[in-house]
Amino acid sequence: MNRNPAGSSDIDVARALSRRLCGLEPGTGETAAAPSPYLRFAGSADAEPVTPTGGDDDVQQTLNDFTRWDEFLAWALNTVRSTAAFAVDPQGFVIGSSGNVPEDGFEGTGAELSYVMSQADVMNPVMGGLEAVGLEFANRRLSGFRANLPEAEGFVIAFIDAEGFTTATRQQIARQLEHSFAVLL
Amino acid sequence: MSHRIVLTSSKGGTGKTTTALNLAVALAERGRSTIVVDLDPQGAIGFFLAKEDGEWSGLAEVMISGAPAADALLPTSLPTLRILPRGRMDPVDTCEYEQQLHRSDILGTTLAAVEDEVDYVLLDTPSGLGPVTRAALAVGDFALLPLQAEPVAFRTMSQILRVLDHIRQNENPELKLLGILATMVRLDNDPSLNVMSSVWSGFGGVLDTVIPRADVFTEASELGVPLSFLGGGTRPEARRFTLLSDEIEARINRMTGVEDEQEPRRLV
Repeated sequence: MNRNPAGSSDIDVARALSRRLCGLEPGTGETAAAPSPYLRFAGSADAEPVTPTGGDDDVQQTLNDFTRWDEFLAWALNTVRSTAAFAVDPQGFVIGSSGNVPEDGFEGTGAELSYVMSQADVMNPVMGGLEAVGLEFANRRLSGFRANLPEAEGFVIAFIDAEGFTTATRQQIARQLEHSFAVLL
Repeated sequence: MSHRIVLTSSKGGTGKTTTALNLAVALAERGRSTIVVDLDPQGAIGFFLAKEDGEWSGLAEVMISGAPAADALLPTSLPTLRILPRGRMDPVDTCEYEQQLHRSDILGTTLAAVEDEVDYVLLDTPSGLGPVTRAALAVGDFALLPLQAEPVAFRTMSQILRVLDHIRQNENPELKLLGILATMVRLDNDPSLNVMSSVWSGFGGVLDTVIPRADVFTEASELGVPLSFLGGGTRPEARRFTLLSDEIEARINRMTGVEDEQEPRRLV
């Protein structure tokens, strides 16, 4: 009886947190001052928090005011959890990149990707215009989508080894691009 | 205005789904319009109610095909209780489901679309501190932590409390700890009693109501019904959830500055 069922440090931390979280103690309690026993991953969830929504009037994501392509691409890279991101203009030129960029850049890749997308466009008219591609190579995975904005028609945002390249993240990035595009140009 | 209550714990098997469902029934039976949302990619609520894995449409249809959230709500035999099931999600897409919930605003928009004139939305999360739990806490008003009154579960308490603290500081400043609910309590068992002694000494937010370990829970799960739907009169354990709903409603009223409806009793 009365043996301690958990490590005393963990109990103390949990006890203090529970008291703080239900308002019994002020925010700067002992746990806030104590050194954390935990390690954090670089670029962990803090960098891209979920946007809390409170109702119909608050369903938009928080939009950033990016002024440079590399800022925007660094954010996009983080959003889809890729190793590199780059933007390709309608002529197939790479106009910005971020992340683990190869020494020779993405120039050739950008042009080839634009070409691949234009070829896929005419594959089957019933399927509509191509919006995104995911290409699996032996060594890397290349994903990209078209920014279907009136002022950004033909621009492609592409990623290397993206883990979270979903419809939702694409839409998130497209909304951000729409917000920032005039300044980025 | 509805109150979003997230039921969460880092350890599995602590009674989150059992609590979510039975608490929802208790709130609904006292006339509160209530929705239970099954966020568990395994579809725990459906399994609890003895449904096939792909039997109900729900949140997955909203996320994948853009179905209206209101159409995904499932009515129950209680007029005040509805369920938003997980939906017909292929289990192999669990990673995509989790990431979409975490990295988009789909959960917030879905809840906002269905909670008009709803008093309580109970969000049943999977075990662990992963993307679904984070997404739920980011849009929740309150966190309710079922604590299995056993040593291993108790040892994990600091983890979930740390995540709550982090989310409140970084993502959702409105999030409050509604309470710690001791479940599967056995006061005739020394380790369980030791856990309860530790919890009762100095932890904040511990609810007075405790849920005992009892065979009736297995009986209810075999039949696929909440406790109060078992035949043979009201079971004492079902009464526990009525008490829990009283306590939670009073606590929420206190935390949100609402006057309690109940007048104090007078002895003479």
